[in-house]
Amino acid sequence: MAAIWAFWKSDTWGGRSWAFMVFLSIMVLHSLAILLFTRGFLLTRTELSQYSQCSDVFESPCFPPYDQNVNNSNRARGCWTKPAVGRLVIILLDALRFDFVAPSTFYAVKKPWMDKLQVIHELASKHPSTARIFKAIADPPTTSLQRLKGLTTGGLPTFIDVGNSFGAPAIVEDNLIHQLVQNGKRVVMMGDDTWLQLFPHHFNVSYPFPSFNVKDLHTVDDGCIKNLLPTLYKEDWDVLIAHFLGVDHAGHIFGVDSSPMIEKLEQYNEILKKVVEVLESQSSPGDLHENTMLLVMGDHGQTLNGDHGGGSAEEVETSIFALSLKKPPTSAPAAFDNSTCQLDMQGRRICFSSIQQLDFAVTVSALLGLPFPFGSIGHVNSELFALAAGTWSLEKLAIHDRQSLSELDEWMQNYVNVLCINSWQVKKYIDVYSSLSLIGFSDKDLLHVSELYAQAQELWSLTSESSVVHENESSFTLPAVKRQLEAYSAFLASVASLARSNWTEFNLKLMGIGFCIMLFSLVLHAFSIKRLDNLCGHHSPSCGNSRNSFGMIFACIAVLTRACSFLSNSYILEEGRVASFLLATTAMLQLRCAIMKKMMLLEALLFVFLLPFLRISIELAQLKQAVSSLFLKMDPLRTPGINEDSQFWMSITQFVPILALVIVGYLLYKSIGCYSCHGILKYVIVGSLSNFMLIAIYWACNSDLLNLPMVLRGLKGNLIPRIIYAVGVVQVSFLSIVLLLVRETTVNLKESTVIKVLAVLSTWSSTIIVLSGKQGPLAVLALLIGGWCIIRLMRLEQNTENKYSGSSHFYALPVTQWSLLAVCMFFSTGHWCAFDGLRYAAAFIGFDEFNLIRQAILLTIDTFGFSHIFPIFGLPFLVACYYPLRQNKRLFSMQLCQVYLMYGLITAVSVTFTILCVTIQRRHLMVWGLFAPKFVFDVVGLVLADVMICLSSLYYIV
Amino acid sequence: MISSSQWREVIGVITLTGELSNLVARCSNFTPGYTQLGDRKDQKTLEKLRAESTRRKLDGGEKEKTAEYKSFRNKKRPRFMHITSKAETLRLIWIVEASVVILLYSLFRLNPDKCSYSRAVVGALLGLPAGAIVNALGAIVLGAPVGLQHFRKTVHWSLLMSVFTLVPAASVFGSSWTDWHRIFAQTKPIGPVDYMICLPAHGAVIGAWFGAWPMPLDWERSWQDWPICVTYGAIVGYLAGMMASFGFVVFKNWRQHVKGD
Repeated sequence: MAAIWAFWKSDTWGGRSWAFMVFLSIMVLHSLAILLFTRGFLLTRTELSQYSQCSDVFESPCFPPYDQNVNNSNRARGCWTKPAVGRLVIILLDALRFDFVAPSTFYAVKKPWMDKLQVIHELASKHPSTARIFKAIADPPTTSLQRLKGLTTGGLPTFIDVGNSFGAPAIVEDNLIHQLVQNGKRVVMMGDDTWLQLFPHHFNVSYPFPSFNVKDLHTVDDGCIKNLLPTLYKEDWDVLIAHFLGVDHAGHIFGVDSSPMIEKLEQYNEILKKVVEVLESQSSPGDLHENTMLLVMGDHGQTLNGDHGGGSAEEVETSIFALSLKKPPTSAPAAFDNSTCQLDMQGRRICFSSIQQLDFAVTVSALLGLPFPFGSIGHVNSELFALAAGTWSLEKLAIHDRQSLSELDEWMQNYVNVLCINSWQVKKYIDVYSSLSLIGFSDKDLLHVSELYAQAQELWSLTSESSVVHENESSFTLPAVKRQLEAYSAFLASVASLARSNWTEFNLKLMGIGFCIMLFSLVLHAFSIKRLDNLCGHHSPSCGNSRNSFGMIFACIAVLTRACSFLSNSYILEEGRVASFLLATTAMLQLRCAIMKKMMLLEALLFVFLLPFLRISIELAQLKQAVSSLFLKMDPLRTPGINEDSQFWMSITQFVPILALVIVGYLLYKSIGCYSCHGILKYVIVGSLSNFMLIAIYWACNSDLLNLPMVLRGLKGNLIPRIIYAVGVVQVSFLSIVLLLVRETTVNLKESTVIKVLAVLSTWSSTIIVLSGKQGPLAVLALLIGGWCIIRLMRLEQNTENKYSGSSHFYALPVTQWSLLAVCMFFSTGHWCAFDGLRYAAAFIGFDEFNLIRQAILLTIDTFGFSHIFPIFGLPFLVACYYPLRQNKRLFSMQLCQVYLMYGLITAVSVTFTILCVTIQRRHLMVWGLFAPKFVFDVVGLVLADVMICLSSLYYIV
Repeated sequence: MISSSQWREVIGVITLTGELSNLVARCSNFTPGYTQLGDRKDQKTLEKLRAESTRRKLDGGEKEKTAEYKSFRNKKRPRFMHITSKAETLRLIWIVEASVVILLYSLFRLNPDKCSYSRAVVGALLGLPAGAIVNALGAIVLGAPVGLQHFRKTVHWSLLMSVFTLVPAASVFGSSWTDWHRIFAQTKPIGPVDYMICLPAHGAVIGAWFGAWPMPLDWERSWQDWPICVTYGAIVGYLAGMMASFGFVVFKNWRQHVKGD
């Protein structure tokens, strides 16, 4: 701030340190604004640290499962409910789509991945009363960590946890696992090591396996398989959790419609068959698994591309298959059966019901007789609960011994009691939450919920009183019980919907402060540009005249149009095409201008005809997105009718990138020749040239077309990418040495700058190309052509007297085009602003094992390489290529600073509008699916851009 | 400078274009209704239902919508700007418009002594496909969909745009490059005919540019498809350009009158 004030006050140009200070203070302002806003926007739910206790149930108006006075040391009696299940086996298959489990006859078309888990179909059709398929509907965000948290706490994890997904903090809220441990249940865990991060001290025995290496389909699964079957024979556990990751990883790497996925499903089918065999063989009375329940479930679904994280139907629909081994059970009460049935391919009748994933924690707690997790807002699911119904009907209730009741009535009565406890617990949570959290639910909603609860409770007191009075006869008549159930269900449903719609607790004050700081930074930015303009004015008298102001006006229009387009979700979905539309408009205007002035026609035409290619690649990238993803407007005819498997296309796709790479390398080589390059910088550029050759060899080795000799086979692995990264690091360190040690003694400022820029760009290019794969060199080529055209077309704006005009007016249009081109590149290289738009595979090029920092850096470079690193480090070209031969170091630095300020301003304006849009649309349906990811991407992009601008100002400005 | 007979003809062009807009409206089943435009509540319900349908899709098939959603979508309501066959409508419009424009503008050819009426008409007919190619390329650069199923629509749309923009110039200027350059690159119209060529052409292009804006919105209206809203934008821009040029001509004439007095 002080620096800016000093800069503002002083009439003279302070040089590099001044520029750096200005950029640094802008960066600090931006970071502050973003930090405050994010704290208000993303951290939303207050986590309560209260835990449910066993004895709490006596405060409730409901019947406890046992008498308070009776010695309750006997754990088998249960705590809040009568335990219906003794042991629980949970087999969690990550990213289990519902159609993996459901018979294909439920769908219009049978796809290759359906009907693979035959064992589930068989069980579901053979024992319809003890085995049941459920369609489980998860709540977004559908990332594993969030889902595990949701499954165990019965709450709605909020968006900020996505950010924690890499760091996986322990769960501090009350949860199922905590209750299990508290109540003396022994838990065994195997598989995904995320569980250990969530519950570090809870498991008796655990067999964790590393989960983050997406390429590895088998380690976790094999580890699970090795431990699962032996453990099933052991007696030293009550709850077993086996988390398989293969399907998730196969989806991420190969997609759903792939042979590894089908192999994985077939493997799971075998495992499940064995597990069921073991369980059934020991399920006779008195045996180990006499009263065991098996749950095979997914934590979330996945799209056909294997992505998940959002809220589309494919991602939220997963499955739970439940099998109770206790026989013979009573038949499930028909009154609650909302299942859909259909014959499967073998003519077996298979039914499925629906369940909210929210209800899982509380239902399992009820089955095991545990206290419900304190923060759970779920609803004990009748059908899942009914599967184990038979298990208490054989015993007699301790206090309400009513022989005359039929089993069904007894079940109903029990279920009503459970729901009573459930409602009481949820009400308690809501009350505690509203009193403790800063911004609770709105009074109106709370009143509505309380009314519903009061109604249900009134009904309850009537029925329970009458039951006390007529102790000997069946007082729970079926209609009364049904009314009661409806009342409780209405209450629980309204709480769940209230929580869903209202959960995100925005701290409007923080958001407002953050936004104001952002606005302030914009004003400061604009003033700095203005100030610099005036400073320039001292040096070149012909500052922005009316001729150039057209470019300025149009640049403003383009930037503001793009920024305003973020206010609508449709335009955010089509952001890439909006940017290309605006860029194309500027290009057409320049073409018109070129025709008018009869110069630069070729460049203008080239630029105009480059843009359709960019747009088409943006559209192709959109096609790559998930089939039912929010981001896709499926137009099946839009896809070109190319048979991608044909040999010709295969070889074209292998050959063209290498050709493009050769062209890029040749251009680089020629540019060293053109400018008299010397010293360290030359070696840096030569290093990148050799890197390009390595990349070409790497791709050639990995392609199947060439039958390479055995010698080259060794290069197929990770060696080459690692060498490239290493060379890149060495190059960067050389560049910093140049910055620190070599003082500028050059006579030709223009040439030295061009070479510096070339050196920086070539340093980054090899890494970025290797990360972005085959499309890399093509994208680099497109960027080069686009940038060259923009630079050449600047001449159109130059005054006819060829007097050098150095104002912001002159640079407004080219800089805007530059930034629009950067946005187009982001989308046309196959990214989009969503977490499934990250190319996770890129993070594993050259490495097989997961390391948080390393992989995060690679992913960042891949994501922002084309849209931030190249354009920002290449920006000095705009100035250098039009710098007159007359030497004026001062003016040159000021121009450079000006250009960077303008680029930063353009980025900041669009981010400001994103922030505004997120604020306005914070209650929009798609806020978590669409606006929040867009916000996160923009904010990260802005901070990165600020950092890079700071670095460039240090490096380039002399 | 301008004879009164010339004036009458200029006014004739304008009234004809006005007639034309009526014709366009009739061709495209233009049944004005205001239910859909102001109905934001409907919009909100639709949005909600759509989100719900994605959330609770029963069968996972991507085209499956909930019954509620379907019934909402299919509810009978006056369709505003609904066009059944886009390419045919566009063809009808451009053929009618082209015959009017070519025949009328050829009357005002630049040098009637050297260039006969029929030659001007032939020139305009040659200019029609050339202009169409330019317009189609421009549209594709800006983001028009490419693909065989859009081919006919794009062809007819670009022919219509050509009629709006380049054909009048072709019939008036023939192959005089300097005049073309003056009108389209420098935007320096001089006489009333120049105005009648320049402003509507620019209006049509700008209108089409703005017309593309609603295309990405998720309102799922039929008029948001590729050439329709762009065509509406172009027609509106063209008419606005016509009015503006008429205004300009009248204004200039009036000033000259005042000066003369």
